[in-house]
Amino acid sequence: MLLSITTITFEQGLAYALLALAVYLSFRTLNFPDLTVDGSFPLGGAVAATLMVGGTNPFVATLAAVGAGLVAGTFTGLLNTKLKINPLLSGILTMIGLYSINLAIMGRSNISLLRIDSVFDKIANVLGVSASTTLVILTFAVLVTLIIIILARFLHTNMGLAIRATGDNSQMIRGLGVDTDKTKIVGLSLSNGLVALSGALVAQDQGFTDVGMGIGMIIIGLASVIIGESLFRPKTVTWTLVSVAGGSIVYRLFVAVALRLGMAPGMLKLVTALLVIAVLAAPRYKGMWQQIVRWWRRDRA
Amino acid sequence: MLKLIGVTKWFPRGSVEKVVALNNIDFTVNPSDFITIIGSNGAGKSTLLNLIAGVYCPDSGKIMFDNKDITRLAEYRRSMYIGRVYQDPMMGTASMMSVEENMAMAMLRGRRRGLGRGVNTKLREQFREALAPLGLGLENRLKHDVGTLSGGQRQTLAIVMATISKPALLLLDEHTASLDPKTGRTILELTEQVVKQGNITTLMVTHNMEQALRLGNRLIVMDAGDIIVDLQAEQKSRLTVSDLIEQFEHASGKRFVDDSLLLRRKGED
Ligand SMILES: Nc1ncnc2c1ncn2[C@@H]1O[C@H](COP(=O)(O)OP(=O)(O)OP(=O)(O)O)[C@@H](O)[C@H]1O
Ligand SMILES: [Mg+2]
Repeated sequence: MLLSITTITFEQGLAYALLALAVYLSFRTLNFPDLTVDGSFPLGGAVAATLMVGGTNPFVATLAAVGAGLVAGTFTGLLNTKLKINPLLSGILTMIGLYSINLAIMGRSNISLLRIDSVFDKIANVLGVSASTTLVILTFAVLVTLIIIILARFLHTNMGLAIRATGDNSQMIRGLGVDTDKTKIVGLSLSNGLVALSGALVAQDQGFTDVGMGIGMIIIGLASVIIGESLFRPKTVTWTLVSVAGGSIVYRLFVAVALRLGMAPGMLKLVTALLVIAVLAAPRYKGMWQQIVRWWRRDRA
Repeated sequence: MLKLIGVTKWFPRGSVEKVVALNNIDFTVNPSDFITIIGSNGAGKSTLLNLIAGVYCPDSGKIMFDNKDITRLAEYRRSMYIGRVYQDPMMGTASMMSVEENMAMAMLRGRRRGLGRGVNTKLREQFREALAPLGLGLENRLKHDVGTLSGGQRQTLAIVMATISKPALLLLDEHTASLDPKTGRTILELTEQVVKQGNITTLMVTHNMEQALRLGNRLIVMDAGDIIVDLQAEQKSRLTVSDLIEQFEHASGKRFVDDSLLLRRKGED
């Protein structure tokens, strides 16, 4: 039982770490609460699954999914920067539009991939091992590490600095000659490309994709980000990326334990929302709590 | 080098009313000018600088820079020529990024930003050299987030960042006003020094009349969206604060009230 909790925690934690990193990119780096995520996650699944069912190589299908995510993010960025639609609404509009697009791509509301070779099967083939959960976990671990290294490097390039400054102080970086519309679009595009990658791989891991599997993804990503940040208190960008991935694993541990303790799976989203609320509220109420403790002590003294 | 021709800017006030922030301004800045700008609250000083920087566009009139029409040019495109320091030290720097990252971004003013490393050893050395003479120890805090610096340190960094890539024009909007007197003085000295060294054309808004008289080669007084006094070096050097007040009262037809106009005769800003 302990073993199964550990396995599930790492499998899911790493699979969704990509999503968490993407949410970090939009929410924290760009300071843009991007709700496109709920649409671009199933978009990744839809594109990859549809192509794979049609006989496309799973690696190519996964890349195509990433491409679709990049386009979705670009669209949200254009809505916000060119049409001046508020960030939240821009994301919601793309997300809603994507629901229909995903359905249209898939042609029905879910697709099974059980009889089709996934990237994990292909990798197992090449390595000459059987496609086990361990292999899936290792694959995700390598991929997440790679993505963290790439992101960390990117965020320290001149373009990366400009993107971070766009979220930090856009007036200043515009004053230094940066087109902040462009940096926003690039950032949102990358973020959603990563989300779609996560969606495509999760679909292949679980053996199906569902048009509704994006619901609440943004909150799961956000939960991972803030759990990672508050638990590991990273000081640098690179460690923040590592912490966010760690946050995703911790979140999955929390979920696995809660389910094991008998929580109905349907409650998961509510509990996640409450968790996010609690973590967000904590700093605000920390002072109040200390005050209560002080009063209580003084009354007893 | 910079020319404003009949520039007018309105702002909405409430749902129907509008207020004129700049009223048909004609204004020419010559190369190497160091112009100090004074005027009461709401006179239009910040609006003037924002229009020059391209934060927003005028409702009518033209802005020319080196004989090019830049009236509608996007803010980020003109920033190639224009450095800015604001009143609020927070505004000139990115607080969640390190000192060296801020400096690196400033070095690339107006240039393409690709996938090269933002900070490298060579740049770091350059930053140390640029920061060490300031005596704030910033050269030893290159990796610290700017958010951990004091207001004076941040404003110092902001000036270095605004001028390190030698912009043609420097816009300063009460950039010492939120600092304590001593830090304000240091920042002002630094400003004079970098402006002189780089021979940068400068517009400096201040509420301190003494400062306005002492610094620069030209002084303009604004009131209610107009430039009501424009003094050249020679006239300016002979002027005292009381003369300036007299000029103001004469030109605006208002009485100078020390406090309500927030123009201070003396002392620090
Ligand atoms: N973004 C804005 N929206 C609406 N009104 C504005 C805006 N900016 C300035 N104004 C108005 O334009 C007029 C000129 O403002 P401006 O900020 O240029 O004055 P200022 O001379 O810089 O004053 P201060 O000394 O107080 O900084 C004021 O009446 C102000 O209320
Ligand atoms: Mg002002």
